[in-house]
Amino acid sequence: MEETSNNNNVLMKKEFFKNMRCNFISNLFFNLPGERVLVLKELYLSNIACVVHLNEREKQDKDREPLSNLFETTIGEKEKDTLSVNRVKSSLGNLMHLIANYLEQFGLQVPQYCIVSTSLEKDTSEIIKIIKDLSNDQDWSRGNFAIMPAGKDIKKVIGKIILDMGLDEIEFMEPISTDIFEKRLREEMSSKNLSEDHEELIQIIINSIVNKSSPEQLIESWVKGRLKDLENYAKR
Amino acid sequence: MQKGDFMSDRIKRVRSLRLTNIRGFTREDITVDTDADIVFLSGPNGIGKTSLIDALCLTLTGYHYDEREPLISVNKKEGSVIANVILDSGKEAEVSASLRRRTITKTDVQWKGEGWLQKRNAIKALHARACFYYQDILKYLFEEESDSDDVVYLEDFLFASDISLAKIHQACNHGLYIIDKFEENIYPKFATESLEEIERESYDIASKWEKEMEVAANIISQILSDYGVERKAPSRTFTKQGNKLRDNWKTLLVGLIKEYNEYLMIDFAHELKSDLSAVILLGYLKIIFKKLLNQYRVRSQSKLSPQQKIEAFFTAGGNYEIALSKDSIKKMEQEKKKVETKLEKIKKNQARVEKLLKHFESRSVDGQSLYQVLVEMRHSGPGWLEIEEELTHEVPKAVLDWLRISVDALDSVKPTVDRQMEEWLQQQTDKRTSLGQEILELEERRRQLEYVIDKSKEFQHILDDFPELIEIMPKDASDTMRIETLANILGREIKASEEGGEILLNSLVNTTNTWLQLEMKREELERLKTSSKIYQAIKDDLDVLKNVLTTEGDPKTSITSTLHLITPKKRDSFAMQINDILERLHPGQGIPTVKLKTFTVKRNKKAWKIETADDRTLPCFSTGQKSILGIASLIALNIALQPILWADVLALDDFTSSLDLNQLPRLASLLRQIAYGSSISNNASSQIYKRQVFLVSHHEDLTNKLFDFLIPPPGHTMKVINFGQVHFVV
Repeated sequence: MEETSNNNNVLMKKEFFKNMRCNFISNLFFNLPGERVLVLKELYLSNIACVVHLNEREKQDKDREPLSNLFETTIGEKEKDTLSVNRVKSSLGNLMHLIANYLEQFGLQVPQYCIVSTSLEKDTSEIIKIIKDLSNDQDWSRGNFAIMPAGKDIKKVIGKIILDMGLDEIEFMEPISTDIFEKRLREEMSSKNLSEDHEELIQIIINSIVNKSSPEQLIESWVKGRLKDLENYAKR
Repeated sequence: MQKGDFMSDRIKRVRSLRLTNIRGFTREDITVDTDADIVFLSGPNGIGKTSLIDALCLTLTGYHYDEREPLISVNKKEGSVIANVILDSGKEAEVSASLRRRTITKTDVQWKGEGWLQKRNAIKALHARACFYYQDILKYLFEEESDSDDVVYLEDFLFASDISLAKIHQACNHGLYIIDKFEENIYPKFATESLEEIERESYDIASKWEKEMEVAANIISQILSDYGVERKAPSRTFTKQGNKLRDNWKTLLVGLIKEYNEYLMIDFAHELKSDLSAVILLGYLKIIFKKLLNQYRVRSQSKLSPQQKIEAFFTAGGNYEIALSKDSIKKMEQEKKKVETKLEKIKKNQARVEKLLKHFESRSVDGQSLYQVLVEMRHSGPGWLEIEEELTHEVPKAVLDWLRISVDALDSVKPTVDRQMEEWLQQQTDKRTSLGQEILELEERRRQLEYVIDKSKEFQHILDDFPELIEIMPKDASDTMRIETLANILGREIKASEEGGEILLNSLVNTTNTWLQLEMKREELERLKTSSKIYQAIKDDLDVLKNVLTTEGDPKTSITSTLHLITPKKRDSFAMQINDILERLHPGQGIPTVKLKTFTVKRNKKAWKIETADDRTLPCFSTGQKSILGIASLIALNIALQPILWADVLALDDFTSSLDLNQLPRLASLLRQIAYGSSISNNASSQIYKRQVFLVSHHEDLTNKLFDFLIPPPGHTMKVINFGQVHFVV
């Protein structure tokens, strides 16, 4: 029953993901040095957040004019083919503000994320390095949006941002009842090679906990009983 | 985990709070409308935002932090908080806390609400810790080496027993105290004299005896002639070079006694064997010499004139009672009869014990005793059974089967069969010794009576020979009189015998008696040695018992303390939940993955130490990092404890203090997930995460930005309560 419910959840989430995704016809966003481009791949929107996903890839023949031209108002002509931090800041900042403004116009005010991934070698990606730095630069974003390089499982990361708060693993903690205590103690007892006396004492402790009896009285009476045995033995 | 496993309902939303005389809320019945998914409390410091959160915590959980005292407004004695709540079932309800000031810093709280609300204090406190963010949450969950005794860690909260582990440790230590007292009394008083000393003294006395025998040999030969034996007096040499008795001295003694008894015909209680106790054997030897002495006296007196007989009568022979009349002699004879009857009875008893021991003790002729077989079975039995498989068929199956049954059967009863056998044999041997000593004492008494009766009869003969003595005797004399008193009355002196033979034989009796006393001492020492074996066994048992109590009495070693009440799996999962939330908050490079390690702090408290992947511990964290970690831990704890919490409310007080701007959108989306859920959140699993969220902040810039991020989607509400100005609703 529970499994069916989980499956339903997964299906619902997939469906939701599909609906909340927006594909662009012309998605080339930014020219990067070395015949690479940054593509505005997808945009996700939910009650929780808005996520803009940019992806770095090799330039293709079919790629049109980059969208960044629309935003780069302050960049000189000669800087257009070089990758400077300022240029990235300017383009991404404008993009995020533009999206925020559109959302506001439609009455949608949610936190925005910009996630940048790469289809190329991550370690050599210059844009990823810049995004990493920018993700900690509060003077630039001023907390208006969050920006981050994508991790391995980008769908999972985006899901965690825009969907409800599903944690990877939940182990509920319960009150430790006397039954649980007794069970753990017995497990511990059987895993160790305890003397007969030790086992008897543990049993008394269990009785005390389970029956809420004074441990002092129970242990005292047990000790006295054992001493009586020894006393009788001594009288032989 | 299905909802309702622990409770029949849950508080899903606080619609309003009515406060009376709570801190700064001094007017009566101030009602704060909180009916929203997010309630944002803003305004400058000291205006009452945290007081409202305290009131919320108190009324929802019934718990308040001591450090938040005084709760009641200044100059007021009573106060109250009433929360109007909506339950998961859809019902509306009220939970309230009535406050009464006990002292300036102590408030008595009466908490009222639905019957299913948990009343256990530890759980109430845990609920407060898991719902209400204060900056000390890390201290209460993870801080190391806290000096405060008030710190209660997670497992303490969760352990649902009225019997604390500390009480159990105390009880174990009390048990140790009882054992200490017991030990003071159980130790036997060991004889200071060593067995070596006895050995030496025995050698000396045996040497003396041998010399005396040599001198008395002629006299004894003469006495033996009265029994028709013409021979040299039998004797033995018990000593050897090296100041020791011969190893076979008891066998020699048995031979000697047998030889004399051939002529004297004494009816000994025991069959004469060398395994009889030395005390019994020397007792018999003493009887022999006494009989020889008596015979010597009889034969000496028969040759005397009446006058000499009176002289001889008063020679030294001990200060015994003389029967003065024939009637009193008769009484003595009756007593002697009684002693003989008793002696007979004990001898029969002794014979029974002898037969039993003969049956079960070591048999030199018939082979091993049953006890030795049992001991061998105990030691080697399991070894015999461990025969290599390929050799098994070479041993008769019946033998192996029998051996298996026999070895198993040793432990089938408690104490084990061999132990019972050992104990029983020891008891029978002890019984044989004690009966033997009793027989000796009775024999001695019988001989004394015999001697006194003879002396009394002798005195009657003297009175027959000298009737004038009757006149001297006092008329009111009792039936008996001590020989010395009689000598005084008759004007006689007790003289030492001038007869060399009597002196020699008397000395031999005394020397034999001294030797016997030494052997008694030796046997007592041997018995003590055995009892010290018993003591050692007791001490071993006591050591085990003490060890067990010491182990369980010490929080560091007791099994109850080392037990992981919260399993490592749950702990690790909890760490994963924290990491999952931390990842969403993206604290930059500040906090890599954290892990939790269980450690025991003082007073047996178990806590979790937080460590990062690069081995940094909590004290290394900056205030900002601690703040982020605190929020992540609170949310993770709130989720992990969801089944036992009854109010789905989360409050973050002054949580923006240590945040940077970058974290705002991330935290905002997390809060939206918790308060609003996504548009597919109307399923059961998403309800696990849904909370009414109370936020408190006094940072205007951050607050304004958060307002924007938290603007609710359709169907959800956020209420902003600006404490500095007016209440308004978004």
